Amino acid sequence: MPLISRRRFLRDAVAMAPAQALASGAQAASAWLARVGTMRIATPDRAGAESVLALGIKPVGAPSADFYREMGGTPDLPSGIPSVGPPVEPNLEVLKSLEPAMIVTGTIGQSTRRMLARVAPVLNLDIYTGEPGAYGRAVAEFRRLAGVVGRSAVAQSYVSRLEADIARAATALRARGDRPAYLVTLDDGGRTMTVYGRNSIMYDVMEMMGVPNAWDGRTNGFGFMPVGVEKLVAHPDADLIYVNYGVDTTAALGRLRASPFWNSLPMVRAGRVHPIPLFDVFGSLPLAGPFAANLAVALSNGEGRHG
Amino acid sequence: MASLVEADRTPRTAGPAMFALLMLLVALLETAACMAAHLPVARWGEVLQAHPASLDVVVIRYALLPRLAVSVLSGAALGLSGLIFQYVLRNPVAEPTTLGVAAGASLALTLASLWFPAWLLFGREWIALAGALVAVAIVLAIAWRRALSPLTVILGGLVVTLCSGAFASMLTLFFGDSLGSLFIWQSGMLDQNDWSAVTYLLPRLALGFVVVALMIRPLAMLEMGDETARSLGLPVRAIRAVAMVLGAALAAVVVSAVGVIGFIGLAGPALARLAGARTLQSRIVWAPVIAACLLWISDQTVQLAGLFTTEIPTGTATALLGGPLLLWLLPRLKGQALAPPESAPHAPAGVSRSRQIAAALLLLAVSLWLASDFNRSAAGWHFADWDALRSLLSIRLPRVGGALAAGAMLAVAGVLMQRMTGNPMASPEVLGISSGASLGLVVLLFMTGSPGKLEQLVCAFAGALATLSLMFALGRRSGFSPERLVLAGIAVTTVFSGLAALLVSAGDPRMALLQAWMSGSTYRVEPPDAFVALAVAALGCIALPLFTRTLEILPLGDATVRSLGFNIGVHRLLLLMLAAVLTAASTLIIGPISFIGLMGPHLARMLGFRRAVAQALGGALIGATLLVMADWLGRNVMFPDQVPAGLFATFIGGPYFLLLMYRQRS
Repeated sequence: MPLISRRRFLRDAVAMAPAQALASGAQAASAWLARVGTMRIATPDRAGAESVLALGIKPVGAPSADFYREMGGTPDLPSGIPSVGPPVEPNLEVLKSLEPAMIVTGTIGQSTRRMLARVAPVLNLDIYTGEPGAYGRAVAEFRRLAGVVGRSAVAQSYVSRLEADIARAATALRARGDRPAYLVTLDDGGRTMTVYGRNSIMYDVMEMMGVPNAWDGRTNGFGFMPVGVEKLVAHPDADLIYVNYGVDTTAALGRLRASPFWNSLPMVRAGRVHPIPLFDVFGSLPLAGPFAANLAVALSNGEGRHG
Repeated sequence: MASLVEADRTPRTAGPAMFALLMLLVALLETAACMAAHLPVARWGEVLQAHPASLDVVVIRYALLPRLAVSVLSGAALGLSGLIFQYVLRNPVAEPTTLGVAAGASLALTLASLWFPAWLLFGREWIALAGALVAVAIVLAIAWRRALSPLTVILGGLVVTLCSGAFASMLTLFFGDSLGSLFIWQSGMLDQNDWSAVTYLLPRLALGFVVVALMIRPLAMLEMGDETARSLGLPVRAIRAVAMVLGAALAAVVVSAVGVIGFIGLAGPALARLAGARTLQSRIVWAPVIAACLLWISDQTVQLAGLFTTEIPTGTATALLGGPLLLWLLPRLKGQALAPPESAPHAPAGVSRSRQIAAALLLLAVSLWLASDFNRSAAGWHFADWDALRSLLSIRLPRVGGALAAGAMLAVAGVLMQRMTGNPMASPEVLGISSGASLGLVVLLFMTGSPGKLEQLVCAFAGALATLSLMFALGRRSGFSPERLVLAGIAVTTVFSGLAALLVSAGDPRMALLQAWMSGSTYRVEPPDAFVALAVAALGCIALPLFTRTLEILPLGDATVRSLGFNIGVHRLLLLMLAAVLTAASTLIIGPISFIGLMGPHLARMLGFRRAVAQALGGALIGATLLVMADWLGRNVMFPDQVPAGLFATFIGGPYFLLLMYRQRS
């Protein structure tokens, strides 16, 4: 996602003055809006940073850049943004010194958000509620954020471009039929894995692309569950997509290749096991685009190779 | 007739053999049920085919059966390891988990996979073994001078476990998601998809059994007593050392293969003995057999339950069972070789030392000033000027105040507990009172999703009081034997950590609050919380002088006290409630583990605060200083990341406490 120039987004911000400001006194609200106009937004977790960046806003404070990159955050975090510490406990003193007008979060728990609210108003992207429909909530919350910062038009074009991208990726897979697929992270021991299912954004994106998620067991509030690799046997004819975490994933595959169980799995025998480049599995809306594109590449490559 | 004769001939082994047979039957029934859920009984024959084609059969052959074998082998290894430790240390509750061996092995693997992943290629078991041996070495070094007293050994093991846990928690904090798979492994999931873990465990376990078999004679001679054995020319210490290395190696192999599986090593040997295995030979046979059956049953139960709901890691299940088991075992351990209780700290009448008080006050004042003024920011360490400070104080002061109050409350609670039980090792953490308070919060979380602060305090108080009363009842029955109290405390802590692990593995959304609460951080202390905590701490300190006489005469024993015409019941109840409310309020701020409640009283005594009330007030000053400093350092050393004060205090206080134990002569 190209970053829009600072001048342009300042102009946009003025042009699209938000209708829904905080309902606490007109004067206070306008003072607050003036500060949001300068876009001083801090994002202590990746999910918040991603949505804010996708709206073309550079946060004044974010998670550590290394952490963001290692966990596959998209869009890229521009350099020079100070780290506000780990998302478990963002450093309030650092946050305060950055003087944000607003703090945007996505995966930070309620008890921590309470503390963040002592520094600046907190807007939480309410995506991971433990209910199905994470993608729909990601879109709605992205729009709500855009409304608050006065960038609804940017959000509008972003979402329609995203949905077009997903639809295009889906067309590439039309010939594939509606065979379900597992989406997993393999643990380096080769015995356990994290499987992503219902309640995750990826679940809904796969659904939109005509690729049903093969995991029908329970998942937690963030839409995942650690299980044994042998649980793949529930839908042996599904495809298997694994997120490529580099060394760990290589180690896992190395061990699995020696496993008679693994080698007996129809998905393995038929070559329907595909890597997908690292993406932020607990991110917000911006994870959907790259995920959809990469999923289409992964699954259609497989079709090409193995007929 | 025949059966009578048989029973006559083998009076010693019929008991454990029958018991093991019964367990085997249960295990087989469960296994059959589990297998039938995957493959119709009529097709079970296919499992024996050389190259099974059908996937149902492959699952049985390469997932279910190896998993079964791994559970049996790990169980046997842990049972043997536990038995060796129990026998050599003459301590009925020694085993890999209580000795800190499992924690040491697991921490070593965590560190290796973070910083030296290449080492793992040489063999996980060597790294695990190194960690296990370091843990054993620390525990033994401390207990050596005290003739390996069971209490010292277990307490050392507990502290090593807590410190490793604190260190691992810090790592999670900073490496978060990238350690995810490591924590899945540590939770003890037994899932398999080939026979490699079996071929890994089998020869190593066999070697262990061979070595034990070779050692049976010298080991059995230890039973005559060290003096006799030594006079026969046996190298007693060498035999012990070799046996303990063997026990640690067995545990390390299991940890490296499947993660931490708690309390099987405790339960196996204990059940074998209860079933009638008395001699060393029969215990060496039956303890591993029964432990193997036990883990087998646990694992099959977990799998059967997993057919209906979310499957929990087997290690979590055994940890959850471990606590009640330990509690159930305690009264049955009478007559075992428990060392006599250590004498209570008979406080010589000390003079009140105004110089010490002034020094303690000054130290507290300096640390309060540093904590609120001298901190790190993006520009580095500096004293903030007044203008900069004013805006930051609203964030800093509640944390400093919370740490101050929590430290003072923990220390006072520690003194109260040590006086009431006459047990120098008593403290909110060691006796599991903090964990009891946390259990209260877990119950609350199940009743309501987002509890208010007052409800939290009330439930934590109820949990602390219930645990404290339980400890107290247990303590009175056993004449406050320190072993029993500490062990009961470990049992409560185990139940709590098992429950917490269960919630984590189920991904329960309520876990977020509990996790925040357990991290031991002052991060979430808001001004009203700090005020309430400071008020409770102050009231607790003010109430203390009312109990001056009670606290002085309590350690004299009930009979003496009653003969003085003193109504001890009411006073004791009031003191219990005071200790409970102090523990609850401090646990809400700093989490269940910090060691302040243990360190505060001891340091106060070392500084010369010997009378009960003086010790409590001096301890409060010292505890407050320690926690304020821990919070201050935790906020700054890894800036902008922050180490929770509770973890920092454990990490610093734990080793310090071990050192204290090491220096203390019996």
